[in-house]
Amino acid sequence: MTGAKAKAKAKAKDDKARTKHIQETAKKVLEEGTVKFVIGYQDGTYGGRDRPLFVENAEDCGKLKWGPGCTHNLSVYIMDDKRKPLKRGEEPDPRPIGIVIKGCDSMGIIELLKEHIIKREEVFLIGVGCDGIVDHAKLRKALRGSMPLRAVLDMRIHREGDKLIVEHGDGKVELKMKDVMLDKCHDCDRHTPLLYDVLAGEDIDPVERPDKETMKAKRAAKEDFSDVEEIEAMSLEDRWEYWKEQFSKCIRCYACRSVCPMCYCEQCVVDPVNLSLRPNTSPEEKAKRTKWIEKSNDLSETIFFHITRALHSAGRCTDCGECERACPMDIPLRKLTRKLRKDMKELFGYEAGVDCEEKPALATIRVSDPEEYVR
Amino acid sequence: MVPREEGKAMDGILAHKDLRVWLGSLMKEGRDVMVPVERDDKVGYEDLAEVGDKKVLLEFHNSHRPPKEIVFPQTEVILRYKREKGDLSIEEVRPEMGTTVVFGIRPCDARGVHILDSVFSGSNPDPYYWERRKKVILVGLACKEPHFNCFCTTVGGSPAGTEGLDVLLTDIDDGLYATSVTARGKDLMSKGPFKKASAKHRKKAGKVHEEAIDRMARVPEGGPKDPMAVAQLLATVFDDAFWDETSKGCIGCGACTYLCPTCHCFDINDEGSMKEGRRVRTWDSCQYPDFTLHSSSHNPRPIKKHRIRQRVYHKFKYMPETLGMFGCVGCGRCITSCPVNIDIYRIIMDVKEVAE
Repeated sequence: MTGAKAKAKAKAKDDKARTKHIQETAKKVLEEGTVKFVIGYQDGTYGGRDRPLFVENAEDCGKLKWGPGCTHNLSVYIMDDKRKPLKRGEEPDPRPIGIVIKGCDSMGIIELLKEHIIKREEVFLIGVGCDGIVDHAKLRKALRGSMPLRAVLDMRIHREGDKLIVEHGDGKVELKMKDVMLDKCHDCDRHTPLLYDVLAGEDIDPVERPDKETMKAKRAAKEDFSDVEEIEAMSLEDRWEYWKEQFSKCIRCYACRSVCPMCYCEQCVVDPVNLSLRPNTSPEEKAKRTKWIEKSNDLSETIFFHITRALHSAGRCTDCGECERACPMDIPLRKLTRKLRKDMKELFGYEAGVDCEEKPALATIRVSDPEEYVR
Repeated sequence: MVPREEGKAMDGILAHKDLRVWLGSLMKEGRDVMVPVERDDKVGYEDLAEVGDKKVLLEFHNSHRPPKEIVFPQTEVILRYKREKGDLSIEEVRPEMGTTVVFGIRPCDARGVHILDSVFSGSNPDPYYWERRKKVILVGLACKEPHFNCFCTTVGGSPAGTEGLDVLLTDIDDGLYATSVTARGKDLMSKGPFKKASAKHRKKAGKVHEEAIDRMARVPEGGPKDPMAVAQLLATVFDDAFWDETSKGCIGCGACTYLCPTCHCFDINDEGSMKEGRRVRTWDSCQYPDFTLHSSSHNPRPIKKHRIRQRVYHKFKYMPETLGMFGCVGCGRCITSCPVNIDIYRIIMDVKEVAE
């Protein structure tokens, strides 16, 4: 079945069917022992949110769920497992990790495959069609006044068609999904994952790699970059003032980096030490390590971190939006990464996370690459 | 330590319209006055002299970031060095801060400062901390409606707690009912047009405090936790698989640490060249993988399980054992800011089941 048909079918299914299929698939692969464990979503501890769940035993699969609160990009956990220190004499487990994947998340996995940092056989992808994820800040704003604050703790949310139903101890509130969705979900053209082994809630044959029709459609699609263009339209001085104000809020917690599946470097510009330190790393190597960014949160250091991270995301960031969601200070980080996405699309016709067979952008040179800087 | 009360506590009532008069008098005498204002949908403490016409808030849950940076800034220069013609000069840098009144601090955050007082005391009191701390006067505002992630009562605190405070204010319809907690607080109250408080005012304030406790969503299951009891409980489950399950979702960012009113770990780095530079103290987080990384490449806390467990144990076992109090005030910020919903309240509640 082609990508477009799969997309239409995915939209029609309800979250209950998807939840059931995720639970059954996880149970099956855990019982058969074909995966190490499954990463999915479970109920969170407040505000109707969800949180990651790591299931090792088939009998715990009942906790897995799918719904409009399943925000997290779970592919960020793949590298943790790959780098897990082994006990003396312990052999690495060759089985894949089962992982529940949305459309946006799947693009990150494709990018990791392109960079050869993971192999296809290391992940078993339980794809799930997604109709939009709730922005909890927007949700709480929308609920203000309609329920006592303490009721937010135990409230539950679920989607019914284009409505979001909020149930709490004292009653029920109905909202429109589009009013409380994450910004990134509004222009989503990846409702169905581009890569999966199983598509939850569907009876479609697994697609080994994104089909040609989906890829062609994605590349041809004109992406709405008005959020970036708004900044590009500012004068240099106004732009500088805008970003100075935004970055003054940064507390250098590195939530943006930690939540990003593409930030897997053990040698990061921001760390004062090289995390890939080994017992035989020489004293000279340790002493010579450049300190690119100081730990102090002076504005210049902070801006340097963010600009560097944005540049390192060029051709790699698939706009899953997790960095902006994770930021405790609400810095508009997607504007930066999307600027790089826009540049990559305009300069090189390149979009990250679409084709597993494609080479990474910054590892490729084509004769047709623009060279305006050569005068 | 901040000197406790000498003599009887004083109470009074300040009309709402006189709040700015009082704060203005405090400023006129050369103090900096920090007040809670809203900026970009978030509440923060800003200098009253620079807030312009922004409203001084009395209705808010809590500031987005705790005011701990007023006594313990994220970045602090502690010395400077310069090499001129072969001579090396070192200049020790001490904080320069005027008397600062923090108006509208919540009892949990004041309790956080009280805990930091204990941490930075001992046989070798931290001079940088105390240079600032002795200049800071805390005027608290009792909570009316706790946030759904608040759990101060679980850790022995209260929406009307006075630990760390110099004055406690309660917003009642007649105005701000005030109780002095320290001699400094009494002195501060004398600078404003406070009127004599009546039994009616005291009753109304008491009602606000009771209602706030009733409205708390996260109630201590089985009553407020006793620090030593929790410490003993944690001692029995150190090696339990519970910590594997709990920590798997953690992404190792420092959001919880940096938004916590009591977290105080720091790093010291030299920044500069052979010719000149500075030594800087900055916040650090035990949740970062390099926090305990040795130069040999050995890491006693190599995986997230060790680091999450450390965070919980430091706050709920080690600090009770060394300082006699929890290292957590139940403000809930770590829960709200965690991108993956690690919930320290739930961890403490669930540990009891693990032990059984």
